[in-house]
Amino acid sequence: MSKKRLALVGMPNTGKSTLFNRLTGAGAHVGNWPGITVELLSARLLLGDSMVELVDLPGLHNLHGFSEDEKVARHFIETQPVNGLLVVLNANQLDRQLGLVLQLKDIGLPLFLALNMADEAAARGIKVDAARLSEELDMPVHMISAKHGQGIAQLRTELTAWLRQHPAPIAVRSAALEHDDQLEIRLEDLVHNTVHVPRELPETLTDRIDRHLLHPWLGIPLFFLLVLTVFQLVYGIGKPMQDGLAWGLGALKSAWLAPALASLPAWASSFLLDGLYDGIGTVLTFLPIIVVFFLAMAVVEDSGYLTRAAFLVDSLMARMGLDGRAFVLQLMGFGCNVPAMLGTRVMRSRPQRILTMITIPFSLCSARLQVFLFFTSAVFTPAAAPWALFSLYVLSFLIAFLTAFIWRGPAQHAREPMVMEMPPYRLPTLAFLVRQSWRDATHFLRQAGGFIVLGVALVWFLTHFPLDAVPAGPDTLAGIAAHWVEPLFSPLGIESLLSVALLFGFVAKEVVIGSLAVIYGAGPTELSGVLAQRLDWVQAYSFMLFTLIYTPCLSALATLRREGGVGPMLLSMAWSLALAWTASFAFYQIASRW
Amino acid sequence: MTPSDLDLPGLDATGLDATGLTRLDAYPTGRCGTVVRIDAEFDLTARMKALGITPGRRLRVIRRAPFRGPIQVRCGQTDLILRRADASHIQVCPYIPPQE
Repeated sequence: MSKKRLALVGMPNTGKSTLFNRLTGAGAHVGNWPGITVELLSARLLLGDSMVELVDLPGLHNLHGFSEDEKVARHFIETQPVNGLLVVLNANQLDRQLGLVLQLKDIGLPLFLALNMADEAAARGIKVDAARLSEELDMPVHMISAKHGQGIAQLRTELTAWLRQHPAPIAVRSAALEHDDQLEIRLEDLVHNTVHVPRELPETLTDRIDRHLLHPWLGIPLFFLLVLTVFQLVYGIGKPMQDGLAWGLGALKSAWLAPALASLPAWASSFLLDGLYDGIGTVLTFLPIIVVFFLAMAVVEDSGYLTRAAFLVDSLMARMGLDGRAFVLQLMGFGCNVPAMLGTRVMRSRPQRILTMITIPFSLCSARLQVFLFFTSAVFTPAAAPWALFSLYVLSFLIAFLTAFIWRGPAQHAREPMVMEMPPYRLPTLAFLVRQSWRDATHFLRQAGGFIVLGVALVWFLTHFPLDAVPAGPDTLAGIAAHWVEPLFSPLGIESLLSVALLFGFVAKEVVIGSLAVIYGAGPTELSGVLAQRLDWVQAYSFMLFTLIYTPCLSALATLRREGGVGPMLLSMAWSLALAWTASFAFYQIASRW
Repeated sequence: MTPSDLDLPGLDATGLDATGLTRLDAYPTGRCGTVVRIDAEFDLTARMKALGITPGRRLRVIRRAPFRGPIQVRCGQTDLILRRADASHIQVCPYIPPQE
């Protein structure tokens, strides 16, 4: 049994990742490659009698591209020996995408061509003569639909046979990447001979939808309406599920766990029940909302609407030194800031990339959403709560814009071109959504299994040691720490114990709610009652403002350091702390006197 | 220039009028045009070509974003958005449909 390696190459929006998932299933892992600084997704698949490692390269438009993603893909092709390249093209757009194949052919690696979205092309009346194409290009050509699984079985069979002909990995001569002679003429001939496109393409559903969604005056209001609808939907579906889960966990504790642990020493049962169980349980109740939220994000991301959002707001963003893509990444940051920061790799200008990365942490990510859901529903009336939440989203944008405006500096003049594809509207398949939500749920649980457990355990220790002190009282370690930071937080209306939770929120915002449960000795169901009792709305909102703005979690900081360097990371940290304090201070001082 | 790509059968030299060149950002919405020349830097030109904008190809400005935002251009089977500043590097002439 021999080990082979195959790289998956293609332009963005060709369904490359869908094919990768289709071929490899769930077994993908992120690997580091010698000499390549970014992580690439790879997975093993069994083709015939050989184990093949399939590496998913970032999307590239052409071999001479200068974006970070394109450089990574080219660098991989130049330095890592492979048995061949599996090239994915969008069968609808062969008129331009075959140019990439011609470029790749010049570097002398064996190529296997998969024409994806064959179903979409057929529906539009586009005919591809795959046999002729294969003959002209002298490589296997196969039509597939990765999304619906058509042609995948044959693809595997043909890949197996093809790999047998190319048993040894090859390293390319990088010099061959330098020239493309007469590429356009060759492309024209090739397309002319093998692809037939109807003279007039009928008006598509996408065109009809875009007439409204991209309307010069209605477009932007519709965008905000859409965002609001998505959040109302998440709230409407997720909240009842969360309440149900909280009730269930509470019932389990009082009916079964508490009696079962009654024989343990008081401190041990307090640690297990008030520490671990309440802390983790409170975080766990957010699982349904997070899954619903990420599902909604997946639909929006997959639909192609984000490019349209970039189109609508680009000129407004330009005034702040950012561009439409930065705005889209900010929207993606609503899910999690880290992948959104990684998304800045499509930008070529470094100042602009750094500026965008500094603004992304102000995106109200799903971890902060948990805190805000909890506080708004505890302190505000059911009618006012969604609006309080919405106001935080609006603030999240405004603060990001303010940040960009203040720090725009060199990025302002480093305007890089924005030329990108606007794909037609597409809907993800149900199978994709199921897989996606499974992945998000397990990701969330892994996090909960890691530092959230550690965090709540530590919070329990701080709020219960020395053991003879009143839990979370002034004599405990947490009480003493809170006393130190009190001069800093009391002008913000944030009581000392809440500031301890903020301390832990520095590690990850997911820990905040869990540590509050431990600090107040309350389970998922009781905590909102406790909060409502101790805080008025001004104090609660001040706390939420601080949580929204202050230093993003450790993973975001680590990403910022890796992608941007130490300087931008320190800037982001200092700026967000200063801004959070100032904003909460101003809000509390004004609102509490009103 | 040879007959270009598939969606413009019959385009030939008569479709190009050197005196009637317009920058793409100023080209009227909804009208078909033919790309004559791209004057952008190497990298941007390469990106445009990869996305289908090459001399000889027909394209159409679909719409313009408000506040002097980007323009949406259809070229072959691909819809693109370009900033007006970037589009200004592309010289277009009116597309004259072939006589049948």
